[in-house]
Amino acid sequence: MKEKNNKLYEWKKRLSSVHMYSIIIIIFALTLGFGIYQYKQKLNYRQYLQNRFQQAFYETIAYVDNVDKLLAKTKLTNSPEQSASIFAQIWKEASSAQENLGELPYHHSSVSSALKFLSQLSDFSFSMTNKAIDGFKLDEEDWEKVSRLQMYAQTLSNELNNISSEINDGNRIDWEEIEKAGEKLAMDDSTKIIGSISEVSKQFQDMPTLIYDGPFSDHIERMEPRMTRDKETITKEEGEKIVENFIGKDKISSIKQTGETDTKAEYVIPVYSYEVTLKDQEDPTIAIDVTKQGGYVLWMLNYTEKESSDKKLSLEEARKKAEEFLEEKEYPNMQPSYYEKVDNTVVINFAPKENNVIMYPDLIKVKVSMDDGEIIGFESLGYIMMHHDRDLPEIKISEEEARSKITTDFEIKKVNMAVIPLESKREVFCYEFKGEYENNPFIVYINVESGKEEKILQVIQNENSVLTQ
Amino acid sequence: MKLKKITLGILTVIMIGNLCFAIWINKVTPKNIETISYTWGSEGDVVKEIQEKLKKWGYYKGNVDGKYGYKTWQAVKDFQSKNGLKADGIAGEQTLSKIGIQIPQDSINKKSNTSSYSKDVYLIAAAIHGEGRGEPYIGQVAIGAVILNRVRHPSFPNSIAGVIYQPGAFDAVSDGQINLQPGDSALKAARDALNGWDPTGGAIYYWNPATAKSKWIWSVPITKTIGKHVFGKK
Repeated sequence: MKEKNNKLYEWKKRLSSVHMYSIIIIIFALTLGFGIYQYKQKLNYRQYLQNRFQQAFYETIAYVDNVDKLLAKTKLTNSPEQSASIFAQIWKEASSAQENLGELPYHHSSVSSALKFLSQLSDFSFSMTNKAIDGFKLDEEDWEKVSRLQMYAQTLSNELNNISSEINDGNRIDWEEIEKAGEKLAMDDSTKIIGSISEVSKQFQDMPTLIYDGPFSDHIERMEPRMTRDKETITKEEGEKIVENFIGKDKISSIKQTGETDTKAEYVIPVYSYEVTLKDQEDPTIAIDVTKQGGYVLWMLNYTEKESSDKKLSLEEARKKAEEFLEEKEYPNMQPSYYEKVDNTVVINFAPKENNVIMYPDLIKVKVSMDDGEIIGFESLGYIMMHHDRDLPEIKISEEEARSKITTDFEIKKVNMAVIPLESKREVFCYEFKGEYENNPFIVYINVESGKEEKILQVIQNENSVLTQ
Repeated sequence: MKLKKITLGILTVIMIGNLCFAIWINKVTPKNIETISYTWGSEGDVVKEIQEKLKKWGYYKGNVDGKYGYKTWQAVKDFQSKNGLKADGIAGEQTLSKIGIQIPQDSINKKSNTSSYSKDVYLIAAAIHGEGRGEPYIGQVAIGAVILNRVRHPSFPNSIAGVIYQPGAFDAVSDGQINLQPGDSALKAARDALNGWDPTGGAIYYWNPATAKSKWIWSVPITKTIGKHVFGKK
């Protein structure tokens, strides 16, 4: 009997452990299956990504090759029309190359100079296209730039083709590896990775500055603020006084200096930064920067969360508040040009009007709360960079002549004189024609010297953004 | 023998744990944008309203208690199948409007607001939200300003999307946090940045000194420090 019991017990035990094992085996199999599935999926995604990178890489090569060949051709053109057409092609090809190169997972430090080269080349070609369209022949200086650019295009093209021949030898670019190694590559080049372009970045490091009439030209970075240069440097205590006056001493409970621009940084406007706590607030709600030279308020932003009230100001009332504010802060004769309404605030763009000419480069933005008319933002970078006494060129084209340059379907409603900034920050003196074409509002600018149509703006008008008449 | 059993037990637990974890990871990672819908477990005035209306029309027979339970679910399902909607028992926007219920005002406002924000504002706001949710407001405007400064800088892609999605450029893009719905603060900050407020002094880089792994980044001259971030320009 006892023996029998024992046997039964053992049998039971065996069963339970068999049971146990099978459960474990099933779970193990499930986990394994799941793991394999996930792994396969990962491989798929990885492959997909590799292919995307590969495509972008090959396209970069193709575009850079084209750029190289086109640049060589420019020298053979002898008519402006032909130059215009070739430079337009370079403009497009270089821009596409830049786009594709920017999509590759190279570390910024190894690719930034090549990206910059392509941006500038594309931008430069666009400005050459315009020059040629205006009927000018390229001058000595332009050709010198073209040769220089061509040299770099060749370098880039060669370097990329070297990589591509490595690939043709059966090597593959492992983009994951490139992404991981990017940092190291920039630091030391002992590791050679297939597809790395550290060589390129080295050769591009000493690329000379390129100055031309376009938004990516090097001169833009190096512009000096006209308002602050040669002005006395203020102390941070003096800066605090300026903040006090700007916001209103009676409203402030405390001012704290939060920082200042590092003197090592180049091409920035040095400022003192402050934080202001208002009397009815516990925490600081206003940030404000004052320039070290001259002590101008560069910008101010009040980010208090306001409870919205039912009493809303009209745009007209908000504009009045902003105008009063500017008058008080000694920015006289400011002309509003554009409103943008968001939620319960409105940002109004102002430009000074001097002798009946609107100076659009000297931009100041004022943000007004529509709830109570409080000035909650101020931004004057444009004004501080550009404002100065201008020697305006002589007007050679009469208003009538200028009108005749515009298509007759354009219904002109208002004419102003204005100085406008082009994308390259070059300023041109123009007639400003505001009007409508096929019921859509447009602004057309005609140069007062040459009669050239400098700019056409379409005014996107909706309930939230309004252009003043 | 006992030891073996315990080991087996532990092994089983670990494996089940693994499996659950793997499934959970798969479920949790995609972050969905919230939409307005009411279903099992929903509570509140809107649910009450649904029950009231459905009771009036004879779909619902339970109490009007504001709790979305089985009976409400069944009633909504019946209502949906009678009205040519997908009969899933979830009162989404379509069903609610068919029932004749105004979706709460604040969620409507939020929706129409976000859609009236232009694409640029939304994209920048998403990047700000992903990168600097915990930062002071000015620090958020600063992140937006850096993105815009990069667009204008020749060494970077020349569009907002190009800059934000450049591989490796922003951590929030690499780890998917950019897909979170940006908060009001981020939207406001994006708007201010697009309107020209630049607290960074023209910076094109920023990094967190406490977590920056890159040695290279310290070669960039610093313009300013705002919140946890250091801003720089080269």
